[in-house]
This record gives sequence, structure tokens and C-alpha cells, in this order.
Amino acid sequence: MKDEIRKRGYLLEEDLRPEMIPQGERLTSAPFALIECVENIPCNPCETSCPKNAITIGENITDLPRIDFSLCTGCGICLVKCPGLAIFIADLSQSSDFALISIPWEFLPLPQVGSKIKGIDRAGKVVCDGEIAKVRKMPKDKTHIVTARVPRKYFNQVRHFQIVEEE
Amino acid sequence: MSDYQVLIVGGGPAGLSAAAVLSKYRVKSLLVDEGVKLGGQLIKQTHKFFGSQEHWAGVRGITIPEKIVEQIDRNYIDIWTNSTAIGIYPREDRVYIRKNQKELIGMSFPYILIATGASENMILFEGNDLPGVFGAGAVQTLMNQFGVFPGKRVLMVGAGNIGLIVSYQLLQAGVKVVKLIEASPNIGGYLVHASKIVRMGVPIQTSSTILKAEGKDRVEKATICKLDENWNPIPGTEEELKVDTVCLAVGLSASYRLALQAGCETTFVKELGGEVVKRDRKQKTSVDKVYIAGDAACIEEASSAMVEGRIAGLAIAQNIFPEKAQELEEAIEKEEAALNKLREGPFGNRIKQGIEKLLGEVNGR
Repeated sequence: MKDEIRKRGYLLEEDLRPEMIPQGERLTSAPFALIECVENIPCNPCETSCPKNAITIGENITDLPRIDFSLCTGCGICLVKCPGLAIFIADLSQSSDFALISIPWEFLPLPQVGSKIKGIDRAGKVVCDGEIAKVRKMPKDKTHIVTARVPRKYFNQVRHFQIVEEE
Repeated sequence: MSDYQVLIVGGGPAGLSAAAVLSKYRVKSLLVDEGVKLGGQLIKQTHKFFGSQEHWAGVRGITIPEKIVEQIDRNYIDIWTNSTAIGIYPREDRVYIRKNQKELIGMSFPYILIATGASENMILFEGNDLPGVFGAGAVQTLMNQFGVFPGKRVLMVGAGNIGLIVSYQLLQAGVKVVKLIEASPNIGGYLVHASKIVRMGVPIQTSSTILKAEGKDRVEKATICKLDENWNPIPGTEEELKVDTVCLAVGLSASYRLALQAGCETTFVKELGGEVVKRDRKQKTSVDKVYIAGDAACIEEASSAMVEGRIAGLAIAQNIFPEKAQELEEAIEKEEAALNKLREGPFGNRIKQGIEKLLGEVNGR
């Protein structure tokens, strides 16, 4: 599995660690962080930044992060702090038809709430349409949080947004 | 003899860190840097660093130089920017420095730290001398330091961390990265860097190389092809890409010519990238007064360069203050432990193995 990832450069859904996605009721009860980190590099800002201590890496900072979804509130701080831009927030609690996906955004200009987007998957392919729901500017950190509403069934695919240019 | 005890050549992470340590021990030193702005490669690194909190995790490279400079007591350290150390002449015991790129000054120093970093490798292909063919470092300098577009449509060559990161920085500047190719079958850099650019629309194609760049006054197109398992171009796999820029991120080579002039010995260590200057665990070369740290010692990271710079500073201070030997030895051991921690994981292990080999050879003498 690892060999193919090193050729491809991106993760397929089957490459994700199963324990890094909430099960049962937790999936739809509140927002949660999706940490898509699969490589042993020395790095631990997610662990040190979580205000709820929901993320654990431990003494050996090359270990992969583990998350306790009962503690995670989906606040988004880890999303901002991750140097690899590998953390996303999903909120399936608002509607049975839509999910709110938050991604790290380090581009200017920041998108406008209400703008139409294309939901892009990890391979860079368009998978659905969507709309910008929220933009949180982080002036000190400069990794901004952009949230879009997408059809709920794509919550585990959409990891980037392409803003649809107005005609 | 000049007034100075130490000359530090290079004001990047290693040189600045050494200066901070030396100023703490009140060792009068001169730091020279050929750039217009202190910080070496750090001033172009707009992305966030990895590692642990003590090693600047989550901090953007561009904010680090001023933090280290704050630790430098300017009562003890003179800094000349825009000044190049152009040669070391051991027989005359002189180092020649072009101060402000105008005045040529020859001085002697009891100790010299070479922290001159590294430079880009070049690959051979037809048209590699066309305007529009850049090293990745040059693209970063143009964009991140001076706000100048290198071009508008880029072919990135190399999937190490530099190629992956500079591709992202090009996207941030509004430049289209048409494709990123890598000659080996695998991406050498961090997967998170690769994943980021792929989802942002940059296709990565491994086992591929550039055959030629063409254009009248600058690059107008480039031809790439696939490579077989013996690294030979596969006929029929050629693809022409409409690009105006070819960015080469094909590895770095340590810049240690000053060390060679000073008489330092080198040796070949595969794990460290090839020929490296021999040095002991305190960054001392085969010439007693010459130390080396950072990428000039071996291509690695800014975080390890900073620790190596501190080790070199402490080791030089040990020579000057034999009465503080114990205290300084403990400080060095602390830094070595930090370095070991930084080098954990598969990426750091190769470096660890290489350094073990190197030190084994040095100590065997």
C-alpha cells in the first residue's frame, strides 16, 4: 500500500486509517477533525495545540497521531496548526443531506460566503458542486479556515474547493 | 591578527545560531553573509516547519531569522551583510572578504566556521540554458523575496521536499504548475506536501524526466518522457508541455570550496549525499581551527542546521575557555540529544547512519 502512495502522491480512501473516522452516532452528532497523516515524520503541533487534549502522539514525535472523538469538538485549531495542511473538519450534524467541510486555505483572495464551488477530491478531481458557507480569517497564523456545504455523501472525498468564477 | 576570535562565513540558520552562542560567551566574532538580508534560505521559506515545539514546529521559516538575531549580542558580534568571503589562504593565515562587495579586506582569525549552505544541482537536457530554466531556489528568491513572477506556466522537475514546496508556493503566487515530474519511481519528499499539491490540481508523474526545453528567446515548451527501470527514456512516451518555465529541484550540493582552500579533508559517504567535509562530533574539520555546520556539512534541514551551528559555537568556546570545558561539554551533549531526536523516523535515519560512518572514519584516524 505504502509503495503505491509514494508513486501517486495522494491517498485513496482505502489508505486512510479506519480509526481516524468516527463510528456510529458520533459521526453525525457533532463536528470532528479528520487527520489524514500517514507518514512517520517528526511532527506534533496537532497534539500540542488541541485544547481538549483529544490528539495523542506521545514521546516519539514520529508516531502517527491518534484521536479520541469523545473529546474532539471539531473546533478547527489543529486544522490551522498542521504544517502539512493534512487536517480537515467535517460536520454532518446540521442536515441529513449536506455536510460542512472545512479546509485549510493559504491563498488570497479569501473566498466569499455564498460563492459557488466545485468540490475537489484528493486526486484533484471534481466530485460535486457546493457553496462556501463560512470563512474564518486567521490573521496571526495565516492558515485560514474555509468551510463549504457539499452533498453529505461526499464528506469523505471533498478535500479542496475550486471557486467557480462568476460569468 | 584581527580583533576577532572567530569568523563565521554565512548568516543562515547555522551561522546565526553559532553567533548567538558565541555572543552569549562573549566571544568577539565577525559574521559575513553575501546576501542583502540575513537568514540564508530561511527568508524564502513561507511554509510552516515540522518537528517539535522546541524546533520551531508550526512556525513559518521567514519569521525565524529575526528571532535568532534577537539572541545575538551585537556588542560581541559584528555582522557584515552584502559581503562575500572570497578565499581562505592558510599559508598567509588570511581570509579575504569583499566588504559591501567593494572593499577587499584580508584578515586573520583564530577560528573559522564555514556555514555556507548549499547550491542547486543541474541536470543536462537540450535547451537547459534557455531563459526560463531556473533552479528552485532562484524561483523562491524571485517570488518570495522580491515579488517577481518567474513565469506563468511551470514544469517542476523533482519531487523532493523542495520541488513539492516550491510548487505550492508557485500556486500561492497565482502561477500554474502544469506538471511535477520525478525521475525515480517514488516521491522523495513528505507525502503531505505531495497530497496538498495534487488536490490543488498539480499532477505528479514519477519515473519521468525532461528531454528538452525549446523556445526562441525563452522557454516556450518542454518535452518530457517516461523512464524504464534502468532509468532509460522509453521511446514513444514523449509528451510536449506548453510551459514558459522549467524549475529544477533535483537536489543540492554542499558549498564547501572555502573548506577545501583551508585544507580540510573530505570523504565519500553515500548516505550523506556524496563527498562531504570530514568533521568530528563537534563539527571540527581535519584543520583544527576550521569548523563546518549546516548544509555545508551535509544537506539536511534548517532545524538541524541551527543545532549544528550551536554545537560549533559551543565547541569553539571550549577552546577559548578551557576552564569552562565541563559546562560547555554538557551543553554540547544536550544539543546532540536534540539533534538525535530531530533525526528520528525514516527520513532522519539515513542521515544518522551516514554520520555514524563519517565519525567512525574520523575517529579511526
